[in-house]
Amino acid sequence: MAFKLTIDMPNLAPDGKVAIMGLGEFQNGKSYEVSDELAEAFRQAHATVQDKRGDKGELLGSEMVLSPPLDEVEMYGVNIEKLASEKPATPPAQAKEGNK
Amino acid sequence: MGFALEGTPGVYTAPTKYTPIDSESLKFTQDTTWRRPIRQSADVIGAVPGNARIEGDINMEGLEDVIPYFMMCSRLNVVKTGSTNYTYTATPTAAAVPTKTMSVTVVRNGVVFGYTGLVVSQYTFTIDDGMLKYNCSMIGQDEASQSVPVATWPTTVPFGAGQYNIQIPTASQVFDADGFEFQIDDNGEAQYRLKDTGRGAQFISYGERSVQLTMERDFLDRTEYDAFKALTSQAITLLCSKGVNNQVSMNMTTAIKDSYEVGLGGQGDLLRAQITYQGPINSSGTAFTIVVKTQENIT
Repeated sequence: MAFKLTIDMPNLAPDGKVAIMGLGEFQNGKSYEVSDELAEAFRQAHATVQDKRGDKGELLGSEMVLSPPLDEVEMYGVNIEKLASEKPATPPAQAKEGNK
Repeated sequence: MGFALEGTPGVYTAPTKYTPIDSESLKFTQDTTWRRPIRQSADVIGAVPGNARIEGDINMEGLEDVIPYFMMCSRLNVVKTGSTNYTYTATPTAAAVPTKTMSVTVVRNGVVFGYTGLVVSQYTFTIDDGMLKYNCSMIGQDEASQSVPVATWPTTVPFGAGQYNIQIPTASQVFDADGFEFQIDDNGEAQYRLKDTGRGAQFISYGERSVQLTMERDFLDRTEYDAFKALTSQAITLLCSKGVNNQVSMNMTTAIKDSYEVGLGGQGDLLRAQITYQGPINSSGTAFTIVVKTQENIT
């Protein structure tokens, strides 16, 4: 399930760029297709270490918890929509620029 | 670290801009009253909540797309002109309070701290190993946990060596100066009022302002030293430029040398003058201006 990511930041120059950890660099006003692999890399990059607790709330240690999926996070000036599953995934190396 | 200008002072606004930082020390400070009434005890018998505020420093690279946000939360009147390429011209005011406040969101080990009602109390421009740095001391109203933001980092490149033009006096470029440090202190102070809507400061007020510039210059003759003794004033400008549309410039309108030291440090040492300037106002009542040229469109 790929994602379409559109950068729309009114405070940024029309050709200004932003970098998103785990995804890469994007230009304002453009849309990009993000592959499943890259979306997973994003979740890894934003993972946090949290306490792991048992049924009774006892501390068992710590665990790495992935960030929410790309379409469930909120980023200022970035619109994310899930693309239909039949859409071919882009190579994981980098996001591909598409039509807005 | 992310931040956003607040629509309503003290009401959290999720970040609309992110910037990498060198360090920060924002903290929630509360003036707890530790109870010590006389009651057959030599110990503290309890705690009573006191007034609270946010205070701390943010040290970062001097980026032209970030500095205007902080100027707007300083004791400055910021005028924006242009389209696509914007110029933000900041002049000091005597206002007791800033016109804007900001929310600053800091994520530490995945834990989110949302600071609100922040204003800049003191700020310093320095050039550290050739890079322009901007450090500011913030005072704010309150803090609360917020949802984890996902940062979108600007790709702006900092000012580096070879991008500075220092003019003493303004319009006369010199090539014998470094160790530049330009500091403005507005002496911000948290103001508390009796209320039932939390313990945070009601607003931040400003006090006396001091404008100071320090730098080192190669010592060649007595000209500058005699000007120091005579309290001669001169305008000083530092222009940091990556191009005509990406600049930060600081202009002291009436700099007067406060100290001028030319000690002999030791054998083989290059003789340099350590100079501190104070910044009184000029005939228009302005001690300094800061002009930032950027493509950042702050509305």
